[in-house]
Amino acid sequence: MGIKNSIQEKISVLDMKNGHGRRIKTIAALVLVYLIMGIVTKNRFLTGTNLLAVLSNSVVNAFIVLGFCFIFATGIIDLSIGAILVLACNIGGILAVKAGLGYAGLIAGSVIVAVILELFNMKLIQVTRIPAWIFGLGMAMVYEAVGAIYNSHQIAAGLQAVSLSDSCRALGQPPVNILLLAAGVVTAFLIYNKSTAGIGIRAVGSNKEVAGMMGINTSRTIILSGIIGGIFIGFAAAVNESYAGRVVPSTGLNSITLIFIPLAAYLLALAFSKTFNLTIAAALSSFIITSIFNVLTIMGVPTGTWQKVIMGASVIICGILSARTEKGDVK
Amino acid sequence: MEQSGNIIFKAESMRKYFGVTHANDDVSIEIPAGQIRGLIGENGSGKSTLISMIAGISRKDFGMMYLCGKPYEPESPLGARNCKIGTVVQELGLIDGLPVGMNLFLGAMDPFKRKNGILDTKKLFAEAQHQLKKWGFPGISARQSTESLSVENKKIVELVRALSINPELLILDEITQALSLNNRKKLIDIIIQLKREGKAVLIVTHDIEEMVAITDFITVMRDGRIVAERESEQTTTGEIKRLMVGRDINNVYYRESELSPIGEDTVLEVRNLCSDKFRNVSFDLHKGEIVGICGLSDSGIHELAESLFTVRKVKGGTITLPGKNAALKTPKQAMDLGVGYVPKDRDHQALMVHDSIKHNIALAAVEMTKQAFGFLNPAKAEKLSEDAISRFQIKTSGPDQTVSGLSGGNRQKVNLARWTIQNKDVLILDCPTRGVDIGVKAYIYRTMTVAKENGVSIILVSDELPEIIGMSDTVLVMKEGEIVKQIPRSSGFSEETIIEVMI
Repeated sequence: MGIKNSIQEKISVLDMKNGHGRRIKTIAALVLVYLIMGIVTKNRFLTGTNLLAVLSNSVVNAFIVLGFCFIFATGIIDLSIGAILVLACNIGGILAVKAGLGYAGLIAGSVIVAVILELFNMKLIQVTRIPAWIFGLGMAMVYEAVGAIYNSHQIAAGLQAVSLSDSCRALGQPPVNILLLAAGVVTAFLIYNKSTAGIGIRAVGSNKEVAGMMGINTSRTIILSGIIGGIFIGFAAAVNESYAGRVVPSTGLNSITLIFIPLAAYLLALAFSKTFNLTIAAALSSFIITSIFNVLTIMGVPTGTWQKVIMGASVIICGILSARTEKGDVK
Repeated sequence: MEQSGNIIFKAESMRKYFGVTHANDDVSIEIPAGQIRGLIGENGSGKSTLISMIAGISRKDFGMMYLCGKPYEPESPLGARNCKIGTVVQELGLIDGLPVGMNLFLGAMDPFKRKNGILDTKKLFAEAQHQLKKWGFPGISARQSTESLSVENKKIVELVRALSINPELLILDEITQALSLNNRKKLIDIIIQLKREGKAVLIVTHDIEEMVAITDFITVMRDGRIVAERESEQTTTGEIKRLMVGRDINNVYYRESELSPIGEDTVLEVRNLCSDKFRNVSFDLHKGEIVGICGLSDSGIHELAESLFTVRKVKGGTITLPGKNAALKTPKQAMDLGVGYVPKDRDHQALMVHDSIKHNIALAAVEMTKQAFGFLNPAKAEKLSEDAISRFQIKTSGPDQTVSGLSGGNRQKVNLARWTIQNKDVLILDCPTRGVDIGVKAYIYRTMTVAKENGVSIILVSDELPEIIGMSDTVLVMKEGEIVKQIPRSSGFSEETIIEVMI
């Protein structure tokens, strides 16, 4: 039996080595893909300036994906996140400009709105017990309508949705947005992997009954996932408002298209989660997806039509990749 | 922990009701330190209910419990764990989405928190690995994804989780049947070690021989009550069987005929079948033959069963039905050609536990419930389910009852019934008696014997050697993914001769 145990221990070590090997292979494959993208764009993609722009453009999506990591982890697919993002952008903007609170108002407004609305969603999903995606669709329409009412009031007053103009724009520009994302990834990593809250969220998402039996308060954990996810969505809103200057609310479930690219990135992150930790994979996947659309733009693929087709296809492809992910060692 | 009068656990007049059903009715039990106590009874006798109350999974309706002389009333499994009661439940109780190490300490991670509240995962995984090694399972990595573990290894992780709290009382609810022979021996060593340390162990198993052999004292339950308590040394398996069912059980347990005729026709031919778990597997299955396949854990027997029904991909080789001139490629084709499969993991691979008995039966026997133009006939499905319930004596309120409301034995009856009511030529049965009581077990063996007599060919994969020996015409012993010996019944195989080849 001793010999057998020794063999099994060696197999465990071998598995860990395989994990490192897999990581190296994945990085090598990514480098190859980026080289190919450089070649097909005749070196217009692989320039320092362009890559920095891609990285900067991926920050908002990366924050949304980090939010997904917590909200979706409990098994709740909330489709109203796009609408929450738009509302959070506007409230943050109003506090920054109209209330004169500057960056503090922008960040606090965005984060508080996102957290409150996610909290509200999570609570109502638990109370009503209806499927989260149906609830999310309904709430997306409600939140869009709230934004539209505000926008129409502004228009009636001869104004537009709040604009940051030249103030508070550094949050959406490098290096501040990139540093902010780095801090976000570190925070998400610690919460997701090294806190009882994160472990509880993952446990509830994986098996609610067993998690409950192990003393985890499942209702409270789901609420907690909404709060943590809401914080990241709030930062995404703050950065987005700062970057865009103005986010105009719209209706007709247009807000759902806002989360399509982050959704593709999230699914890709799941596919990468065997190789990298999910939170790191979230930022990496956002960068990759943004890179792909950047390449398409450089190559002159029309944004309104073919890029939309590719966006839809990318969600499906990333979904297939994530479903094919074989679960193994945990990083 | 302080002990009172050497009694570690005591329950008095415990009652638990589910509607009008008395799941536990005036149950009193005392378990002294250093005792291995067996708890036995038919499916639905109330064992699991009693255990769930002790383990904090469900609340009692009436009665008192004491742990080391102090009143004990756990509000949750975590509460029981904090009182040093370690439990391994019958159904799997792990979080697939978390690594093994985190499962070991889920709900009790405070010792691994740093001052800033961040978990010291390095320390957590190191401690988890230490626990796995300490209890004799170093091959399971603490960082490994739980999802990737086999059913057996998941059970082992649950066991180590229960042991990791250094329990005063360890409760094992039908764990041995999920374990292979070698890990069963390890478990017995652990139980004996705990006994020596003055701990108490409460063990539930349907393997009566095993229970009599490893326990000091046996409590027998029937219809929610304790009907007898016996010292293991002073009793026999026959007496325990009689006490369990309340009548004498026929001595004939396995098939009666030592050597019964087997048809000459080969109904299933396996040639050079290879996968990542086994290689070069070749054998023939004849009409009316029972081929038993056994081996230690990781020998590939369960994976082979999956591949024979084509649910697991193979790298090479063929499975053919010579009489039908067809090679098996998909489960649908296998079903159409008269092959049925009962997997080992009943609740995850076989049954839709949240759906009705009727739908579970109709799904496997869809051809029998079809009407004109291929539409399904609900009346036929209803009739088929009623026949199966009646024929297999499934204890249920009717075909519309959800499977999750059935006991383990009755679930297995549904699982078997849906194949045996069809006229299948080949049945692949992977641990068909896992987690069922003596009565259901005898019934399953009888069903297999009748099927054999009617010309049905059976591949019986099992971790239980007595079952393999008792039922098979031919035994295939697998070791490290290969068939190392093929033993015909005529050679008079025994446990010793098979174990010699297995190890």
